[in-house]
Amino acid sequence: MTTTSVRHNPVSWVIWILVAGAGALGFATIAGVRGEGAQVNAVWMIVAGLCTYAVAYRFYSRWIATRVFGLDDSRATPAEAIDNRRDFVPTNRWVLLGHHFAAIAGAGPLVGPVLAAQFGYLPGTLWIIVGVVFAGAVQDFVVLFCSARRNGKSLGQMAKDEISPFAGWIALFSVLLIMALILAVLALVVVSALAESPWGITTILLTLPIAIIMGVWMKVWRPGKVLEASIFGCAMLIVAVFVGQWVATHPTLGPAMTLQANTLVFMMMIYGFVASVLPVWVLLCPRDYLSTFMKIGVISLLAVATVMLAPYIKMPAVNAAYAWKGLGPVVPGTLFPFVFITIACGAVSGFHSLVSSGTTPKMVSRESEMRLIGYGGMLMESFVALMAMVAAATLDPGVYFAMNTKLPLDQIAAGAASMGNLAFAVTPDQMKTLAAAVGEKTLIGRVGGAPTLAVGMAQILANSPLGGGLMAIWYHFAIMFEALFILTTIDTGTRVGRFMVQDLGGHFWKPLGRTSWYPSVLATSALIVAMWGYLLYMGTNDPNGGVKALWALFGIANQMLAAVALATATTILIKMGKARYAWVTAMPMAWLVITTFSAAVQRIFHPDPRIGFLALANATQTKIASGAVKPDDLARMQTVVFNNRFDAAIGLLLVFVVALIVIESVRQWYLLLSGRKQAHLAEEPRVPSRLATAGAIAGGSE
Amino acid sequence: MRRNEPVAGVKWLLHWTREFFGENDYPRYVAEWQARHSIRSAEPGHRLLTAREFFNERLRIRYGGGVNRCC
Repeated sequence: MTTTSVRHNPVSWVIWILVAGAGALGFATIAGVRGEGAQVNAVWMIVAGLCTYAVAYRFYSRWIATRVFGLDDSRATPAEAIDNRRDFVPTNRWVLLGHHFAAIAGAGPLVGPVLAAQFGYLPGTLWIIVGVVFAGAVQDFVVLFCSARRNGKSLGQMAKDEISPFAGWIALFSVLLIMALILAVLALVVVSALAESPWGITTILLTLPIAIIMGVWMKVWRPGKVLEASIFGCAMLIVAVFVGQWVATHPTLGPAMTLQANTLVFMMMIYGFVASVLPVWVLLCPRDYLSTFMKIGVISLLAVATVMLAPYIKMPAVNAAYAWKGLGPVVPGTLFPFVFITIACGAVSGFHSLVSSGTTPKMVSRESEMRLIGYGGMLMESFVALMAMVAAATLDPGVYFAMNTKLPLDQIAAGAASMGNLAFAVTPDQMKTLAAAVGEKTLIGRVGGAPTLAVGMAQILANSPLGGGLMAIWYHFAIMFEALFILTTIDTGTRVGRFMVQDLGGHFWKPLGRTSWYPSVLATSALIVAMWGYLLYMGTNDPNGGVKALWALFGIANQMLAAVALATATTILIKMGKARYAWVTAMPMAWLVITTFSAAVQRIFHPDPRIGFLALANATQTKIASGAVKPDDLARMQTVVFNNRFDAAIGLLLVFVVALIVIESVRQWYLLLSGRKQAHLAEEPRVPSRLATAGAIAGGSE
Repeated sequence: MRRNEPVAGVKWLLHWTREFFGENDYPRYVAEWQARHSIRSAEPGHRLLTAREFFNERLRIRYGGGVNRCC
């Protein structure tokens, strides 16, 4: 359907006006219903989100595709022009959308919205929906376009070619740092979810042999039979959930499988190292398949169950004391900038720019398909985040805060100062009943976001007509689903980190750059595991709840990478002679620079020890110096001082490198726009497409 | 005609499920390869890959380097 046909097609206009109207009604309901006894149904969140996605995809992404980029199907993509049947393979757009979504869909959008629900459901929901339309999806689409026009070059290479070699080098180093942070924070979420949970640990450990059997099935027994192996794997996962239940209640096995957080930290590090050095088909590939299909299936199931159950939102729209005064016990700091940092992946994620400039641009068969894959894929990811917000917002707020803080229940119920004087009704009996219902010893202080999401999902799924009231089974199914997903990021992420270290190391000593030379594989795997493992250990042993600090650093780092990607894209648009449209990428870039720099500066220098790393380090140091610390706690307190100074140093380093790239970009824009420098675009020359003239669609029938 | 509709629907669903899992890739590759070359006249280095080799090649593309998994 072309723009012209829509313009003259009244039926289309009526349909789109209805969709926009439904979306507006959704927003009006979730934002406008207030007052005593007023309740908002969670279905309105889904309506607002889906209608906005539809309108944005149909109109905004189309406008970007035609006016801003001028996508041209008569121009061969790298997949068609090079078509070496190896890296460059023209691929059907739906298949490629599946590949791309599998690559960008991680656990980030599941956890971030749960933590941000502290501010109330409204700020996070608005950021997820508006952020993806104007920032996240735009970034993924524009980077895919820029990379495809440059034979699939990586973001770092594009920054080097289009901004300056210096910017490219900085981008390479910062990506490695961000990778270590991401791995640490996600591993911390798993550790928080599985610590002292024999059911969860048993189920997750059982996924290892299941994945290995799947790997052997696909690689040795029945080469390429992914569907069969996946059906087997999914069935075995469900069995694993029931085996976990049996082990947890077993008098001998139950206590044996109850592991402490620090034990889990070392198990995770060993797992990451082993997965990085093993052949990919043993663990990585089957896990990747399993987790992707599980994610699509579970989120779809959750959406259907939510619509069928139509639960009411229990979290207030805005918790004013947390939003404006920064007194929140889950995420320290005010709504601006921290809601935009806490929810990274569901709204905008810099890491997607690495995927969009990785394998996807080498496989896209027509330029117009980049809109579906780049923009559409990110809208799907945003919907995952929206469903996580629904799960958190439909929980009792008292239960939410009991799970996500380490505060005594009476303080939460009474609205003590540590709760920012906001009271949320919760009783010990209520928490005991809930813990018994999900088969856990306790749910109090189960921070990190994953257990909260699992309880929220279990409540919706178990109470819907699909769920059969099996709360404990659904809870552990949700925990397994989250942990499986995060472990996939840990194993593939460690491997990708290993490649990055090898790439960088190869510049200094050539043999280190050989990706299959085993001494290099072992050394670089150990190095990347040590990098994220240290941060993980640090976060686990932080008495102030390590996830608070690490998640903030991860959000800041991820959004800063997005700012770098958008700065590169803006430079390219200006060089293309499209300066009048540069706001499409410059506007979200400016927003990300403002929010990330504000958050970083606050996290480092804020005088309140709950927010500022240095303030907490100094306060703890003063406490030690005054002799108020018990001898038993001394070592732990000294670690707190060191860790917070270390976090401050990482934050400063991130601000410094990103500021350098942004300043360098703005300097380039000034030189280009003022005519002091001639634009030289490092784009590949146009090659006419044979597919377009033949009317063929690569990669299979439609 | 009406009796055939569910069958067509199931076939369509099966096709796309297999497509999504990448199981149609190898038959498609074989068909394309055969259309371009004769199996008998295959030159060294241009031989038809076995299903196992083809699967390995796909693994290499997806996991052989670069960023293939986000957060």
